[in-house]
Amino acid sequence: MSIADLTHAEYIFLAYGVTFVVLALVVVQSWQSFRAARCALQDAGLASDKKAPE
Amino acid sequence: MIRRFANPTRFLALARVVMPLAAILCAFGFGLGLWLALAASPPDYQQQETVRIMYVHVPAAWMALFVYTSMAIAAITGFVWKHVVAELYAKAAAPVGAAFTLICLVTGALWGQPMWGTWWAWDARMTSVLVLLFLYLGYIALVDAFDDPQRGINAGAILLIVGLVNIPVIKFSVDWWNTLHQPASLTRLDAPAIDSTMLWPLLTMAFAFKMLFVALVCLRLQTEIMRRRLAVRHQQVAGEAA
Repeated sequence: MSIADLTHAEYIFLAYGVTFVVLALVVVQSWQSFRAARCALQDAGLASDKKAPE
Repeated sequence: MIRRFANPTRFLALARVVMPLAAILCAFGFGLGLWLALAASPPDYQQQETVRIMYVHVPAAWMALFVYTSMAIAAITGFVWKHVVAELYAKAAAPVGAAFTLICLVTGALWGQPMWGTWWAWDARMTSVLVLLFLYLGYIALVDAFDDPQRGINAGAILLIVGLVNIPVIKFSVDWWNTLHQPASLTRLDAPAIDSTMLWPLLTMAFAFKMLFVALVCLRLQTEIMRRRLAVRHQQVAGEAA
């Protein structure tokens, strides 16, 4: 069976699967970048929620 | 209003309120939207069950266009008013917009194969959306390609403004040219050519996508502001040492 012979349900599963995997990767990447930036800021002696030089 | 949120500290205070709210609305929207899209809505008389792919494909396409347009407006705002948050917004939103464009292209191919008998055609709509993906990727590469972050943001802003010409091409490609891709069924001047049993899942999923974008951009903008503060701090330390 080739990928062109999939059933409608399998196409739907693939479409929703790709959608949520891509979105989950963006969420995880965004959260990890946020955590890394917050840790770097704290290491530099700047609390992330306080006013710092702009 | 524009000036008010040019101050990153003031923006961060707003983002801390908006982000969790958007995340909750997004979870609620996806819960309801998935139930409507996969269980409650009927199959289409022509497309049958495959119409359910539209409930992720169309919102992703809308978001791909919306995010790029908002980035270009932010780039113009950053250029003209030297708005710090607007400059950082474009950088924060680009990967999210690229993800929406990728989802649009992949789900479109997965719908096209059973409906049209082909994964891809070089028609005006599909090709212009592919160009949009390249614009996103080009911007992401360009904005970090300079040692001076401000030069990267300025170069990226020019790319965004030039690339804005692609947005009306995408929107009106199905009207201007004879394309395999069907014309708009919802965003038309007369009534939407879609039944309410299919309209509601579409709008609910579009709402969920929008809330996800708001939550992610708030998070990513906080990251960019923290990075900028860190860069300023490093410059200060280097200046004190010299």
